Amino acid sequence: MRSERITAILFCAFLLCFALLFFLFPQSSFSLSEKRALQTKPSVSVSSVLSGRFGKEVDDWYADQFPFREMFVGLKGAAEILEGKGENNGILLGRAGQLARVRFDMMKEKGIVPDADRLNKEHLRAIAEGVNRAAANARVPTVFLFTGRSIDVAASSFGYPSVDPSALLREMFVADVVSPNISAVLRERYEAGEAVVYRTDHHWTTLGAYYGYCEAMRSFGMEREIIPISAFTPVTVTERFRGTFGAAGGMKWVKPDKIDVWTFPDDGDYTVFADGKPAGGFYTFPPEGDPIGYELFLDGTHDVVTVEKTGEKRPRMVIFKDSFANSLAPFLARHFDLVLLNLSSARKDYTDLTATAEAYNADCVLVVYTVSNLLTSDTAARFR
Amino acid sequence: MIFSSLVFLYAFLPAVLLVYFLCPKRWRNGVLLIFSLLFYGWGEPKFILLMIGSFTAAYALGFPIAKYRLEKPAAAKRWMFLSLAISLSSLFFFKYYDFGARTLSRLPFWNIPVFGLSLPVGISFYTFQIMSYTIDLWRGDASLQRNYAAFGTYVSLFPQLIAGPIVRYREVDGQLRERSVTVSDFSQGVERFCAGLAKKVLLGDPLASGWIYFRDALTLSPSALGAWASVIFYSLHLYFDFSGYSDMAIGLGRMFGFRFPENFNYPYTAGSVTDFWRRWHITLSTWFREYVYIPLGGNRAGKGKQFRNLAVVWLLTGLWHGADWNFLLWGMWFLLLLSVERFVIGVERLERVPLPLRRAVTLLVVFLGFLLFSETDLPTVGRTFGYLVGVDCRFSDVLDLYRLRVLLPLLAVAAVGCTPLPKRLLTRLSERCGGLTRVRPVLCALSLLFATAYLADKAFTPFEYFHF
Repeated sequence: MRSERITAILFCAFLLCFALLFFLFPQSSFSLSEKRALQTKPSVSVSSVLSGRFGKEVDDWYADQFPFREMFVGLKGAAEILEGKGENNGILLGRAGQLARVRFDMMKEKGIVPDADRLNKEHLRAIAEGVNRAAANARVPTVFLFTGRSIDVAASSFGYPSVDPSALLREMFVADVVSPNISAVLRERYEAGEAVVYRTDHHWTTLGAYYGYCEAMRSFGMEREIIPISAFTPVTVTERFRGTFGAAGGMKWVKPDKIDVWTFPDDGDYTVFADGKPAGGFYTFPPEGDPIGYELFLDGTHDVVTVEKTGEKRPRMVIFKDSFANSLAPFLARHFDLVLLNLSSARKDYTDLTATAEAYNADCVLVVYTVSNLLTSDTAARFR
Repeated sequence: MIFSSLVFLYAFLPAVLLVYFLCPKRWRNGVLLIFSLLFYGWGEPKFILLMIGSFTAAYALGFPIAKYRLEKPAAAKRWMFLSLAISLSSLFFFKYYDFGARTLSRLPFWNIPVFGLSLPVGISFYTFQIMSYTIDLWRGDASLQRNYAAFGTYVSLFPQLIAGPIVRYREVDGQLRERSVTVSDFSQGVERFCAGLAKKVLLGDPLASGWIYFRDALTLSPSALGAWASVIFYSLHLYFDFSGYSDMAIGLGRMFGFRFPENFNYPYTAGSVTDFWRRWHITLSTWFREYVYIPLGGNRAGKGKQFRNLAVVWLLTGLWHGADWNFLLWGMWFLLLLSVERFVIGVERLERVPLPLRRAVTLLVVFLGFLLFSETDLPTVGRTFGYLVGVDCRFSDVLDLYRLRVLLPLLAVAAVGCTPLPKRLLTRLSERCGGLTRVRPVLCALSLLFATAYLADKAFTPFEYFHF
């Protein structure tokens, strides 16, 4: 009887306690760890109630603003790891806290296959056809730098049977395609103990970006002009960076990353414009107190970013890119005026590489696109 | 709204418990009715009116049925059929009209408009409950319910509204008029609810992820092992999902003083298909037996009629689960299996087969049946059946093996969890060391805590039995 009473009281107390805490806890409109807007208290109207929208918004409001939500997400992450899955929400936990996404929304002829870890050979063929087509049409030197996924680069940290899609793609490229094997380079460096990818984020580190820069320069036949590592001064701007894997995986015990920026004596001579507005340089720091993330590089995501050196006319490189190019650009800017075009732009389609490069008077073209983006979109398949 | 959501657990449930127990007893049916309508209308308020209309019609037509039942049986029968026709018309229109129109439009010279109707949540469940009242009343198995709020509560009672168990009117007739809740009832309800929540959220949903993974993998690189894994994960998911939801419903009912019938009894330990259907979705089987099979003649009047009765029941069972060909075929699959057991092998001969072998064969045929149940696209079903026997695919690939290895602990827990072993173990331990009963509140709290963690992570799948 006593234990029955305890059960009843404990249950009611648990429910009521969280019901009250939900209203007493301060609520926020944005999640810094997830980088998305949170559902706030929905407004009621007759139409929203009748359409069912109000109910849906209240569900989202509870899910987004639930007290100790981050703690609960961490508890779930811990439970999944303890259960022996080795991953949570598609994020694999490897040695020394290395995280990597293993499941992606893979493109298929008809729509996508969500959360899959298999490669779709037809889609790989379509990507290769797009790249081959763009390389054949190119009127200026063009290099394709397909940056590897963490699971491919840091494969040695995981007992996961990973297949590097970039290796399969390279077999399908025709001879015209200049595409350095950056995955292999980074993998080799990673296995040598260098931090070329973040542990908690899908991007490469500044060191990884430097190796990308070296490979790009070699591919353009400019090996001699590569600036050695020793010419840069690394500055650690944060040691509390928890990136996309850290947020999605819910593994709170994994140590955060540090972000370095590599400064160069003439950094102040460059002007950066993001979507036509001055961006204030290669690095944009968030307001005091907000966590520093990968958006630091080139002010995050913009459709068009230009980088020029004051008072100097230099060859123009057009970079068709995703976010990996943002930390690569500060290196390339030492040699070229840059125009960076976001291949994932919702407003403009830049997949006609040849015409776009001509429109921007490009002297050379670099495509910087992650393998995961290749697999999960039809962007490259539409290259011309 | 579904039970396995934060808004239900931490807003709706505390609110309804608080108001219910603070109210005088005579208001409690009204409180449950109002909260049940809120629960039902949460996602699709427009269908509240349909449900209210359905139970109001049955409530009103109950009066002439009760009035004429003894004096003018023919008139009572007419009123009963009118009531059933009203109940069934909305079910047929919303659930089967589009399917019928699409099917008939394939015939030459037929072109029937398809409306693209969305299915009101739980319509199959509450329609069957309404019909049970009408039939029980006509048969004299239940007395007339004069209290509108009590009748509305019976039909719309949120614990069992959208996914059962299907409660026959006579089972709760007395409880609707008079019920009380002791601490022991409430606590047993809490335990049952927490067990169901854990089954649904901590096992059912992760098993669903495993199933979806293997099912989708078949579209990218098919393998026989992947096909078998998808069938096994789906079947286990379906059990934990649905029986977990039933446990939650029974537990919630108990908290409010209702005793709902059991809906599952370890179906995956059944020794035959007949036995499986005595253990799976028991309240639906009971409903069909009581209101269709037995009135048609049941086991009496020769094998031919027995087969006909069985065929009618399984045709209806298939259609009840969904208006699509795969559900119809699923029903026919069980008609075939049950007919073979009953008419070809025979009960006595079947029982001579060793139990482990019977269980293995039963599991195999039931799981294969669930492949039909899981997929409405018949060519996909056909392809998957092919993969199961190695047609057009390899045996396995390295990713299948990896994924099976990491999911093995979940699979093992699920496999043991669908047998009576955990319950037996807990009972035996409780008998040996009395102090173990103190662990029960802790187990409930842990279930709630971890379920909340999984829900906060949004790692849940929509409840599948919604659309039936």
